[in-house]
Order: sequence, then C-alpha cells, then structure tokens
Amino acid sequence: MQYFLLLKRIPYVRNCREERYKLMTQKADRQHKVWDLQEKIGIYRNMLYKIALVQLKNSQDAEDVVQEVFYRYYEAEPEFANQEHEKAWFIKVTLNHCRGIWRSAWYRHSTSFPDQEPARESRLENDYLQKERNQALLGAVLALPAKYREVIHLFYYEDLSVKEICEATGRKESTVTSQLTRGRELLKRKLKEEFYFE
Amino acid sequence: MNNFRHSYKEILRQVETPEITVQSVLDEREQKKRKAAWRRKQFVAVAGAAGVFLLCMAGTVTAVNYTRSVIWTNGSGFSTMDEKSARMREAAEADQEPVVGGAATEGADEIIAEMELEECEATEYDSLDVLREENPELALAMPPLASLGDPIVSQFYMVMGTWVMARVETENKMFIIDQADYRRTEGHAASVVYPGGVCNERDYTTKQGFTYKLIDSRAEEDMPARIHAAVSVNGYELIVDFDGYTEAEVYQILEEMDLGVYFQ
Repeated sequence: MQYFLLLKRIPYVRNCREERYKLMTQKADRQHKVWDLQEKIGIYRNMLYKIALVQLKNSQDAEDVVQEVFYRYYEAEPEFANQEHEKAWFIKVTLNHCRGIWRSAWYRHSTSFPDQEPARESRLENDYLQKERNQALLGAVLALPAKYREVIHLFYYEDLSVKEICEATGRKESTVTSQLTRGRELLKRKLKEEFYFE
Repeated sequence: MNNFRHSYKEILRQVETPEITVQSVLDEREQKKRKAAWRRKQFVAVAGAAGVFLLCMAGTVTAVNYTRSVIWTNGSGFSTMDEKSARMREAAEADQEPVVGGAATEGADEIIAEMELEECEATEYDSLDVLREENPELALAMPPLASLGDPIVSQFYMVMGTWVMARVETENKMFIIDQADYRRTEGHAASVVYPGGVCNERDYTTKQGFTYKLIDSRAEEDMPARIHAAVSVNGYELIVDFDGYTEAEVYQILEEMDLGVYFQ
C-alpha cells in the first residue's frame, strides 16, 4: 500500500516543482524587465521628453508620448545590436508617436511650453538681455516647420551626427543635410545674425 | 555673437523633465487615462460623422427606401448627404450658400457636448477578432491587417449604435475607417473636416466595381500628405484615412477591402 502511494506521489511532487520553477522563472523575468525599464527610463527620459516637447510644443502631450514610448518598449521587448541602435530606436518611436499626435485633427498647435527660466529674479541688465535672447532663440526654433525643427534639435541638442539622424528619422543623408542647411538659414534670418552656427 | 549650440542647450537644460517612473509607465490606470485622452483627440477628428449619427438617432427611425448617398469634396474635407436632400440642396444652391459644409468645423465641441447629453453608449475593442466575436452581425470592410503594414503597434475599434470607427497604427502609418450606417434613417447630412484643407480630388474604381472619391490633405505645409477616401455602399458611408501610405499602397488596400459585406 505504501509502495503504491509513493508511486502516485512522485509525479505530483515533480509537477509541483516544475510549476514552482516556472512561476519563479516568470517572476524573475518580469523583475528583470522592470529593472531594464527602470534603467532605460533613467538613460532616455530627459532626451525623449525634450525631443517630444520641441516637436509638440506642449508639455502634457510630450509627457504622455514619453510614457507611451517606454510602455511600448516594455511590451515589445525589442532587441538591439548595440547602444546606438537602441538610442535610435527610442528616438524613432518618439518621433513617430509625435507625428501620430500631429496627424490627429484635434491637434491645433496649442503651445504650452513650461517656463524655461527658473524662479530667479535678477536686476542685472545683462541677465535680462540674456533671457530675452534665449526666448527669441527658443521662439525661432519652435517656429520652424516640424521637419527642420526635428533635425536641428537632434543635431544641436543631442549632438547626433547626420548619419545618426538618418538612422533615427529614416531619411536619406542628402535630405537631412539639406534640411539642416535650410533650418539654419531660417534661424539665421529670424535671429538676425545674433548667433553663429557650427 | 553667441554660439547657437551652447545657447540652445542652456535653454533646454533649464526645462525640467517631469517625473517618469516604472510605476507611472506600467500603471494600468495611467495607461487607460493616456489612451482615453488619445481617443478623445481622435474622436474629434471624426466628430463630423459622429454628429450625423446623432442627427439620425434623434430623428424618427424609419426604414425608408433610400440607399444612396451623395459624396462631394468641399475646401476642407468631405461632405455627404442622402440623395433626396442633395437634390434639394442643388436646387437651392443657386440662391444661397450650402450650410452643410461648415457645421462640423464650427461646432465640434458642441457636438461632443451634445453627445455626452445623449448618453450614447460606446463599446471599445482593441482586437478585430473580439469585435467580430461580440458583434457577429456587424458589417465592416476591414482589409487584412497584414496589408496595413508591419508591425502593427495598436488597434482600436469603437462601436456606437450604427457608427463604427476602426484605427490601426503601425510604426510609421495610420489607417482609420469611419463607418456610418444610414439604412434606417430618413436622411442625413455630414461633413468631415481635415485641418489644413484638401486638394487633388480624384476617383478610384476598384476591381469590385466601387468608386471611391479620394482627396489629399496636409496638416502642416511640411508634413507629408495624407490620403482620404470616401464611398457610399448600400446605405453605408465609409470614410477611410490613410496616413503615411503611398498612393499605390492606398489603392492596394482599397482593393483588399471587400465592400460586398454591405450587401449580405
């Protein structure tokens, strides 16, 4: 009798172990995914938010886009050949998502850019002039058509090379180069030669 | 002279990034809120058609013998009307401006407000299979998802009475069908407005023999053109938006849409 019970129990115990092992692996995988997401948020949060903000000119929409991009990353679990590829993926998905918002008929170019100047008052005329200049510069960038704004931001703020911009935007090198040139021309005209471009 | 790169970086560095955490990204409620906000935005895009749905629902619902709609393009999008009203409009046009075209542009917010008052029940789905399973009687000429591009990032379907909206998004493209069923109404008038105006009106006849009216729209001067198609089939009206698709891809997808489902 005892012998029979033992025989019956062995597969049951084995099943339990397998189940527990499966659950533990799943839990560990999930935990690993969460840690990975946390790491990516730390690395790309600022970059993606600024890209989305400059594209959409609206802080709430920009935040939503970034949250969504990270969610898509978590869900899709994309694999990357290297860090550059990963960075390009994040930029690309962010830009695409921004375009998605642009596409919606609702989007009526409502600008709600957060105050770029911290609450710090200065009586110095120099500071005041600098603030004025900064506002003019930001205004000029935001007034650029989206395709120029995109490449100007990636080139001058993210320090991306033309090749990297091509990878992130899916455009040809000649297109990106001419968009950069045209964007610079428009900025120069707007800013009345107050700035020089490298 | 100041260095543009340095100045631009300095300005943007002062912009604070809001806190984004794993919890906020994965939180289901936050997800729903974001999706709801996105839907609201999309919803206004099709508010013209939704407004028409309301008119139909508010009026007497009687089975009548009209099955044809007249579709034409105005400066900002499509206008559609039942055949009888369209004839009356044509006759009156000599004397006064048509009033149909501007309705949706001017009153999108009012339409939404009105819809909330009417308490229209909307059911949302994120899978075509579930939509079909739960609405076996629903006719919807969706093309095969594989024909819309790869990979599909999101799907969204909404059924509200006799009005259906389907949106499929790939990494670079977006496909939207806005379908209204006018078979049990006495008449209707609707317009769909695309920001930035429309141009390049043309027709395309599929191998099945249905003729779509096509137009292009551009939200911004530098944005790529979007293609919109409208067709009327057996009392149904379909407005299809293609964003990010080439002309050839649009024709291919229109061919893949089986409009025969509206006769079954």
